[in-house]
Amino acid sequence: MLDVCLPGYRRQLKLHRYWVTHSGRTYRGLPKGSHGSTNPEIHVSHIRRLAAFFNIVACAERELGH
Amino acid sequence: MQPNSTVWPLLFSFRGPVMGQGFLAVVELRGRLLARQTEDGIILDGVNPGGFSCQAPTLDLANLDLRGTLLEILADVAFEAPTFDAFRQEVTRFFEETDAESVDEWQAAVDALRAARLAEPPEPLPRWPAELALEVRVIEKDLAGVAPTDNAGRPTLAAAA
Repeated sequence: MLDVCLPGYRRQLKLHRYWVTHSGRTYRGLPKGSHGSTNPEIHVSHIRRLAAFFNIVACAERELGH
Repeated sequence: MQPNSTVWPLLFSFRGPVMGQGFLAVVELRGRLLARQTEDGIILDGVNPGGFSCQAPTLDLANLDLRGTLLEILADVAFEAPTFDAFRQEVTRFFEETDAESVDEWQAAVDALRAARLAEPPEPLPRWPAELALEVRVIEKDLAGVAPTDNAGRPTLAAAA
């Protein structure tokens, strides 16, 4: 989804969380477990917030089929 | 992707210690959250700071998750910062980064709560004025200056009205 909706983004694993950076802004709250997590509730809530943070909600909804 | 939910505007205060690369700091935040009631519990979406979300079955447990989330993010910031000044700058940036849509949603929820168009939050909360100034303070400490009160307690949550 990010490859399509947030091209050029960078994802970095820190001590506790993934940081997603794009256009000089950084989302710092993505837990390690939610990337490829088997828990869809945790996954969806974090991805929804990340999409809002980067203003890509409409694209994310298209890509994720919601 | 948007959950079918009721949304409350919250303010929160948080104080917690962070150990960095050769420095010790205490971070104090007074920020904004959107609390969303969903079928599965409560989601706390950051507004200031905007770059995180928490989820738990109840508001009380979501608050506990908020504490852990903030401490983890601040530890990550400390991990990246070579000096206290760099840490302070990055914490400030983390706190201020948000998105306009979430800010607008927070203000609309305040208006709805004031107009009694929104039910009370799911658990009793104090009321703080919505206009209360947001605040981020990063204080450098030395070992002689630390106190038990510098340990991180649960954030204080309040309904913004």
